[in-house]
Amino acid sequence: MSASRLNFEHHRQLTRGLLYCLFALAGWLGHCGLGLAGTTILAVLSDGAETYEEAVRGLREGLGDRARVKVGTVDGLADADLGLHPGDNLLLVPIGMRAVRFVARNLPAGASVLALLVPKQSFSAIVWPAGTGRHQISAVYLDQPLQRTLQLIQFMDPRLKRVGIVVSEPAPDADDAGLGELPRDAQAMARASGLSLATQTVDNGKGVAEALRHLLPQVDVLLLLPDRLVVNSANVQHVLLTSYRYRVPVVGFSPGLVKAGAVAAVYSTPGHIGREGGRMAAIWYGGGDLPAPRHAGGFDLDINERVARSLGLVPPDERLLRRRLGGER
Amino acid sequence: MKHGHARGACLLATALSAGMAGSADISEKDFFADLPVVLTASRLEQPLMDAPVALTVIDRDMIQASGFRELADLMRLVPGYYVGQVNGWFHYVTHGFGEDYARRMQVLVDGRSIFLPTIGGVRWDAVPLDIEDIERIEVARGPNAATYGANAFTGIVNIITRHAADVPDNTLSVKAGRKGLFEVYARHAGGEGDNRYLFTLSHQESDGYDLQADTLRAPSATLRWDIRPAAGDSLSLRAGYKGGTRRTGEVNSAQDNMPRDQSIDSHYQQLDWQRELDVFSRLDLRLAHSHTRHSEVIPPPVNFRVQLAADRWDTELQYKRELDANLRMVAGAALRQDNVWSPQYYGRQDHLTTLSQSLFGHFEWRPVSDWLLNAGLMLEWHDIAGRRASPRFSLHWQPQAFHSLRLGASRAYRNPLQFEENANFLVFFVSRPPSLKPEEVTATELGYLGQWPDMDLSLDLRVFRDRYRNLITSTAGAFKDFNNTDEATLEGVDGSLQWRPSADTRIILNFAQTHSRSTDTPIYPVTGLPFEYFSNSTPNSLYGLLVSHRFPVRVDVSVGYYLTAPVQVIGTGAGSIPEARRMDIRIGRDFKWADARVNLALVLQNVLDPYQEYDVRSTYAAYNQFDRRGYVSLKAEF
Repeated sequence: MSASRLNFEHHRQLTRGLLYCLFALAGWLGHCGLGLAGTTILAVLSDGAETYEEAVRGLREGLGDRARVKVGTVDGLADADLGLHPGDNLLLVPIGMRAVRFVARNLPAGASVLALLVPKQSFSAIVWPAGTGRHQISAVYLDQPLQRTLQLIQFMDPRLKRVGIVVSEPAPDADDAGLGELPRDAQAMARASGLSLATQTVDNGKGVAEALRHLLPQVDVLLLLPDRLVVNSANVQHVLLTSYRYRVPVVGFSPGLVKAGAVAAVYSTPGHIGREGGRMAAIWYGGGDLPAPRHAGGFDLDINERVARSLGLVPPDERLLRRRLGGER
Repeated sequence: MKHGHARGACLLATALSAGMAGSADISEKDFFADLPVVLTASRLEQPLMDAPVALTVIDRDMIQASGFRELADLMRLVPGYYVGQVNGWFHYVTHGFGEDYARRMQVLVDGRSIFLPTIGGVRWDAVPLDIEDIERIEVARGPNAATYGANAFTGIVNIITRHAADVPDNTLSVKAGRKGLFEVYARHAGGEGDNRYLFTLSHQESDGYDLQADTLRAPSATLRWDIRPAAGDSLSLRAGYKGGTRRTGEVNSAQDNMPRDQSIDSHYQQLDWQRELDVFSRLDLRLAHSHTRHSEVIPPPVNFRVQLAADRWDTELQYKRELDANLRMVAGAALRQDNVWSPQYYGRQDHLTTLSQSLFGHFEWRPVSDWLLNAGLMLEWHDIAGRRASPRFSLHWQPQAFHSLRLGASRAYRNPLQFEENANFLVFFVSRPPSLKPEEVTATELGYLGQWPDMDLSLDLRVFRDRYRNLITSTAGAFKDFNNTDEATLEGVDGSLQWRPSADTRIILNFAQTHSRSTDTPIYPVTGLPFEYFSNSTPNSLYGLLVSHRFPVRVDVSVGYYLTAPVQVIGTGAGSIPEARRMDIRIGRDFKWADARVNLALVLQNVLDPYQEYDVRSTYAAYNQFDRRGYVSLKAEF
């Protein structure tokens, strides 16, 4: 790995260097004699953080002994003169959004991409180079399927029936989603879990307070979806305190939110996502098509017992909940 | 699944994606970011199931469904609470002993006591607070001095007002109805983020009862400002004013009680500062001042001016800490100074000052998951009552998720008022050397809270026995004084059944059956009846039913039915107020008009036959007939 680290802002330099990198990597892999002849899996980490390393470990676990995984970071790749196989036998596994953007900008023709640790909303907005086929691009999303989160609410306390969700205005060109992160069949999904959904749409951060004011009096639980307009580090205090004043529990999407004051969250760890990605990569490695983007099958859940108790909720034991949700362990 | 590229290669889009990505898009960092703990252990409140006393919560939906327009009337929604009405503007709320001075209750607004240290009770008509500004009301159906201080004797009402972040930017409301009722209210909420304020202006008018001189003119203004000067610090400033005139006296009076206007001047200032010391502990400081003054001149030929003024200054410092996941504590100190002034009530020109200091502590301990122990103690030093210790315990057994059994015991005191200690009202009362002891109650109860989530049904049930000692009564004869004369026992059962048969329907049934016994010392010479007649002063049955339903066209219909058994209010020396049955109906509709959310409602109060309210002299019963009335309200939020 490189000793000198380039700033993320120096992408253009980085792009120029990439062509050299690709060739260098090909030569290096050949030299090392790794993998099937000419078939390479290269994990590109957004940086050297433990989160990404954990995902790589999961990836290797999911892939088993079938193939070796090469690892580089966005900054490291720029300087290390690594080259990639041009052509069809390369699977790039960018981990994290920074790596995804890096790969999207520098994608060698014909290479496949399996993005890990990416929020669905952000990943869907990535623009790939012209001519990239849909079957070449896949991902394991960081978000949870809505169904799973709704089931968490259903199993957590039977009194939580009316679910409130604040969503961003849909992007003008969004055609695969209903409202923001909410799938079209969200209502039907909710009904299947014995719940009803009430949504408020916002188009700017200031609207969140107003949306909460309308929503909170008429719901039993507030569901936060990953949407930076709706919840971010600057307004999380307002969202949680306001909901608490209304005595409405919040269900979040991350362990951090649960620690901050959400009553519960179901989420996939980097390990879960890595393993799911490993299983998908194994299919590709075995000569099959890269499976379509999906959520990780594995997940974990956190419950804030203190907040739950204070709101008069009595959630079942975490292990029982995980089992009812069909968790991995 | 479609990706961006499927919509064709757009160079511009590619450039934008590369150049701007990351500014608004969510990334994995949003999932794994460590956030500050917002709902810290010390900020979390005790759930109903763990509360040491029986609590009733009145929420905004109940307030709206009830159609009640006046603060005191809301207490009809609490099991066992009795609301009486002397005239068009004077209400009294009691739990236990019914009396128009309501000396034995504590009433708080955002933690600030609005109990009058002059003659006791609450002048509900002088509280600068509109129903529109109430977030919820928490009512304890029993003593809890260890938490709320002395005078949290037969019950505590804690009104919590709305935060600026929780109300629309602008609210305008008008109410108009029979009996000259007219109310106008305006509220503006501004600021954003950690700096928000709320400002209200209102004016109320009503003509009161048909046969009484009891018109009301009451302008009011309030201000609330909430800021977070730094992370972990929050500051709340509140101030309010209510004034105007209240017509009082008797229409056909002999000359001593001719109709006249009483002018009211009531205001408060309050500062609350909270500091999160760490995730587990918090410091709260409260400074509050309330001032209430009324003044009236009995017309010529009597031509006598009566003035009564009270100032209450409160300082309270409280420390909350979670020692471990199963042990929480609160400890604090409070200092209170009451200044009362009335040349007519106290026979002197100077202010009478009462000081009290207290230390309090409360522990909540859960040794195993299904047992919880609450223990609290308050030590108080009071100018008149001396030193007292008020302990409280409750043991909770929660064998299943939604069922809790509570055994509670507590002792509380009511400190004598300056009026009881030093009254010198014309010729009726003479002051004597300090001699009064505080009233004492020893309360025991067995409570049950159960929920059946599948049916959306909950039950709150309590069996109680409250034994009172040293009850203060006034002596008979022309020259009176107050003495610790009587003892009384109240026993009974009360509670509430709540059911939501569907998301649009809510049914609440409140009930209270009370049996009272008292020594009732016979000291009233005219009728031979005791003047302070404790044993009948609480209605032995109180029932309330509130049913509300939202129809699909955004029309809300609610019906409230209230049944009050006969009651003999303390201090009147008269017969009982007969059983009262009252039914109120509210029909409201929400709609949009331009950018405003509008609610139009019709409220009919007491659609049944007239019932009799407070009866100070039974021969005047006709004056206090609460007959059918109604009003229309229009509220716009934008």
